Amino acid sequence: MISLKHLVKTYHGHGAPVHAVCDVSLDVAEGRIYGVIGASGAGKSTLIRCVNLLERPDAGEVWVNGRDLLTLTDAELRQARRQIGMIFQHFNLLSTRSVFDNVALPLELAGLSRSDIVARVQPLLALTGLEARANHYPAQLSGGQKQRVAIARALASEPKVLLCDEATSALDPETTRSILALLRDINEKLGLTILLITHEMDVIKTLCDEVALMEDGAVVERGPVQAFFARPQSATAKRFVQAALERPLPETILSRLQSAPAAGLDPLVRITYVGGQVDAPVLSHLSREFGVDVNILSSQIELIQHQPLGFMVAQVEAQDQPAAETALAWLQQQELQVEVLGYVSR
Amino acid sequence: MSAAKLDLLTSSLWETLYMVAVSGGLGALLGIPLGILLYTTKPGRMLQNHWLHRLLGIVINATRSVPFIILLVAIIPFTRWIVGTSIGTTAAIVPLTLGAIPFVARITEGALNEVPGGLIEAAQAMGATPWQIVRKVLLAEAMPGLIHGLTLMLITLIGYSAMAGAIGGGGLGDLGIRYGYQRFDSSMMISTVVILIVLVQLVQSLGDWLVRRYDHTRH
Ligand SMILES: Nc1ncnc2c1ncn2[C@@H]1O[C@H](COP(=O)(O)OP(=O)(O)OP(=O)(O)O)[C@@H](O)[C@H]1O
Ligand SMILES: [Mg+2]
Repeated sequence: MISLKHLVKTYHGHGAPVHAVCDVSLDVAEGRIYGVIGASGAGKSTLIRCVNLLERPDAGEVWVNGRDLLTLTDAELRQARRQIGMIFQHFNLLSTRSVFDNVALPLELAGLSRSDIVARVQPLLALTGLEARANHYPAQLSGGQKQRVAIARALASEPKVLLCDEATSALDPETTRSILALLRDINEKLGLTILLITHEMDVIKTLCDEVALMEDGAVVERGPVQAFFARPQSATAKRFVQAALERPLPETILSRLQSAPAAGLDPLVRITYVGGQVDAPVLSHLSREFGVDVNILSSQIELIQHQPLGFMVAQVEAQDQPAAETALAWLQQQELQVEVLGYVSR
Repeated sequence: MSAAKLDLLTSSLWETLYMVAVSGGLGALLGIPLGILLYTTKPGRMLQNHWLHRLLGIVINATRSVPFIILLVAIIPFTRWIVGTSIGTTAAIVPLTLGAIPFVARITEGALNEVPGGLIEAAQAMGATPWQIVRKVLLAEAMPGLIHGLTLMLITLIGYSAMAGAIGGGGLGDLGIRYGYQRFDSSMMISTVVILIVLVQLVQSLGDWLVRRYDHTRH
């Protein structure tokens, strides 16, 4: 549905040129929810603004709905943009228009008659839970309600694609959840393809099917969300996943953590396990077969894409160093992600 | 106050209203599009044209820096060419309009500048044409500021119209100067001043009321 090919966008400001997007390719299949995450300044906004040509890339191709937007005339581009809804961090509602008239705006622009407009807007207000607010003005609404209006407005011209530029970044956690639920809802009900950018891993975790991680204008890692969380490859991805999911180790352990093995020190391991493996009695097997004690320091399970993903930090207490290494080697062979964080005394 | 003087007051009031209304109307009609052009030709905007933008700015500033009383006299040939005469109430409308146009243009540009860029982007993303963006987004959102500015323009024109007497334009200000100042008729002087005060109050109240009707940012 969306296919970006070798996009390049460089800003020539006063100082050195800024390579906001350098050679990014990205494909979003129809009906999917695709998230792009990255730190501030990574080029996310520039990338998503290239999808409806609010920003014209210096090079590359922008295919949406089977057409390369860069080859279109101005008039054709305006038509194509009606098939691409967009919502923004700061809502961008017209303050002089009521909720109803804000949602009606794209339809007015398209030249629909008043009766057709009413027929289209009413169900959208119902879908977004705004029926009672139709005659209110944006200044009378909460942030969450404003974003609902923006979503209804983006859906008014019945687009195939919805672009979300940090749609929940100005909202509190609870409102964020309700907006994400609404986006999920319209994705399922209307079969809408959604491309969103965010710097919040929570948004990726609760909403997206696929994810791409951007850093310095390039995509450094991408794939299904489940795999991204379970097996992050790049250092940046690992940092994002850990910051999002794991509770940090207590200071009392961190201060004792040594980086090299030595006599009298036990390895401290992090074990990541996916789906059905959560129930596997791996640790009791480890104890029984290798005669080690597994001292679990922390353990948690997250649901990602309806699948459980577990994290555990444990101290493996063996008789001596070779015994510990044999036990760890066996652990690595299981379908688990095992990472040695360091070594601690008992 | 004698009936003759009352007549004089009413006819002068009508002259003032006529001059201010027509020049205000024409000033808005010509000044608003000029303001839109000034806004849209700025580099980075939809009709960006650096030279046109500069040129408009220079012409507008030049016109605005000429004191009105000088403008009134300086453009007499132009006035005669437009309305066929260079004296009288109708003739005064030409310099008043010419004074109002750059004023309105700057006010319009300022009001449009206040519209957040995000709204324009949102409209572009919806597939709006540049003209639709001007009409449905920029002008609509700038309306409270625009009305506020036009109110200011009308009040300024009421002030300017007092100088119209210099070319035989008549009006309340002229009456006040001729009777009150030159003939020491203080009742006439006070009457014209009171009427002018009431007039300005009315215009301001009407303007404020309209701004409140359009402005939905405060509740
Ligand atoms: N119009 C512009 N002119 C010049 N430089 C720009 C412009 N827009 C963005 N940049 C630069 O491009 C880089 C990428 O910006 P972008 O807004 O895409 O980042 P982002 O990932 O969306 O960040 P954030 O999370 O802070 O919104 C930044 O270094 C930014 O300063
Ligand atoms: Mg951004």
